[in-house]
Amino acid sequence: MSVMGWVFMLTVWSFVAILLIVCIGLILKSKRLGYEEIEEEKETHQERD
Amino acid sequence: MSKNLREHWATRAGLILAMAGNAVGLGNFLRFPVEAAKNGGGVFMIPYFVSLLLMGIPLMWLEWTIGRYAGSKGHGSPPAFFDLAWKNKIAKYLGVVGLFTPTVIAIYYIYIESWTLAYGLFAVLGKLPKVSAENIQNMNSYLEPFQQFNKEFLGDAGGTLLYPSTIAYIAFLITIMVNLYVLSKGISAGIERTARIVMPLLFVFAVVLVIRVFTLKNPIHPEVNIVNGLKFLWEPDLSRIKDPSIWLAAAGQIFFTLSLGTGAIHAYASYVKKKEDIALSSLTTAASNEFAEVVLGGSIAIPAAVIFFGAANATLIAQSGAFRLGFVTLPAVFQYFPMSNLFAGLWFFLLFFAGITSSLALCQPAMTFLEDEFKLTRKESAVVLGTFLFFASHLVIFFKGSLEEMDFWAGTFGLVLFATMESVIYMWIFGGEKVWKELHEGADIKIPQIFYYVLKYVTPCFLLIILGAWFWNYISRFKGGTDWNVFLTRGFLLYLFVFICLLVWLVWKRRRGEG
Repeated sequence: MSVMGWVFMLTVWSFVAILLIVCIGLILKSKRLGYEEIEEEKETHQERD
Repeated sequence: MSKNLREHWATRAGLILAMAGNAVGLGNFLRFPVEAAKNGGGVFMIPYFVSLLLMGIPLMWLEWTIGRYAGSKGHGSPPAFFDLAWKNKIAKYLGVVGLFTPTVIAIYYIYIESWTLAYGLFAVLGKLPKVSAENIQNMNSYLEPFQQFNKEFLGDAGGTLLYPSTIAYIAFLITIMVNLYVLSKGISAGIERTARIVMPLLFVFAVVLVIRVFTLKNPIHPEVNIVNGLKFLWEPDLSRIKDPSIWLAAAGQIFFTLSLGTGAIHAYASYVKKKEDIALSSLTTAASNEFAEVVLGGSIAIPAAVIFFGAANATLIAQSGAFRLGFVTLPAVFQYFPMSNLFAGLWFFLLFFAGITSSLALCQPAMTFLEDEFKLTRKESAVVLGTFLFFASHLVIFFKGSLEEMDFWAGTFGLVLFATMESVIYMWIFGGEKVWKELHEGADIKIPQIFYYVLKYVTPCFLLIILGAWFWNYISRFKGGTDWNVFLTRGFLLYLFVFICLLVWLVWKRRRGEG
């Protein structure tokens, strides 16, 4: 395969993989994985208020 | 079901997996590599990613937004959410396209899905044909047993009628029942639970198959290996970048792969709670789908065919279509190597898992319509839809050409038509700014403002161009002679469309009566 072919393939693969990793990372950072947890959080806030 | 009792997804991970399951379908592993190979290899990825950024991802955001917005008002089916956005009598009837399209696709998709189940069982039980190593230098002779096996399975004797094998029919019955059972269990206990089991398995199976293909070598010329396979798919033919057909093929592939314009994304998103994030979740779904398609889907079927049969023969295989690649070529390749039944089984169950998560999504708009507008329970809705799908599928099972006709009207034309209408109705009539605000309600990320302008101006233009091209295709389709079974299918589709319009008319008449 030519250099151009490798560049095309690896660029596309990297782009897709990085996009997926960043998205999963952002979801983990948001700590909003389960909706039940959010409901519990909201209830806790309401009780505190 | 009243507005307050509307179901919701139990977890965000479950929602993303179900949405990814909707997007990751047979097209990721069969259609994508064939389209890429036919359309310039690596150069195909340029229009593919341009379409993804200017049309695919913006439309994903729009469809999630419409779905969650309509769900918060107690509705999730296209006639209802068009009516919510545009107070015009015609709006709900335009929405019928979004109900007609996924239901028609489900009619033939479930049947194709049942082939993967049957072939998976054949593989595991060692009932797939045996290949002769002597024929390896002649591709047609080598593939002949699989070609014959496939014809007998589908009952294709060359006429206009098909006489499927008993196994094919039993596999269809099992597949439709499994789909309806999951649907009858509901969003959280049915679809979400299935996605949480099936999607991780799908990715594991795909990775195992990629490793297998990456370690394959041509039996006669061991120097031919995965590099040749990847070269065939990725070596860019830059002279073809100006070819409009490549751009059209790439835009079409983005549509199919993200399941846009089917009403399925809206239906699923209508069960998302009002304040939950959709901006990041939808982007994650798109990224998962692209990973499954570009990295995994592009590394299995076509590279294996190139390694085994050479680039020239692989071109012929790609041109002969995705079904031949999936049901004839790849199992024949695996049959030559050790543990053939295991790898063929993994391949077909991978396709089955990809298929079932998509068919559940395709059935959901009709389920949502029956539940929201006719107040049926999930079980009642599943029985009504299941009965319809069962009888309608017989057109595809017994009449040759029926599948292709349905695929053209629903799977090609209908998707683009519906997406064009939704982008105009929501971005221009309902209001682009309201959509943008709704999209960011509870969002975990701030989407760059440029995408607002893309969604408002670029995406509709993009869609209109594709629609024009499909329309041209539609005119040329009517120039040639047509068999009676194709007319029968067209008559059925027309009847179905009118019937759904009638149902919509009845629902709104009753609503007016209730005040």
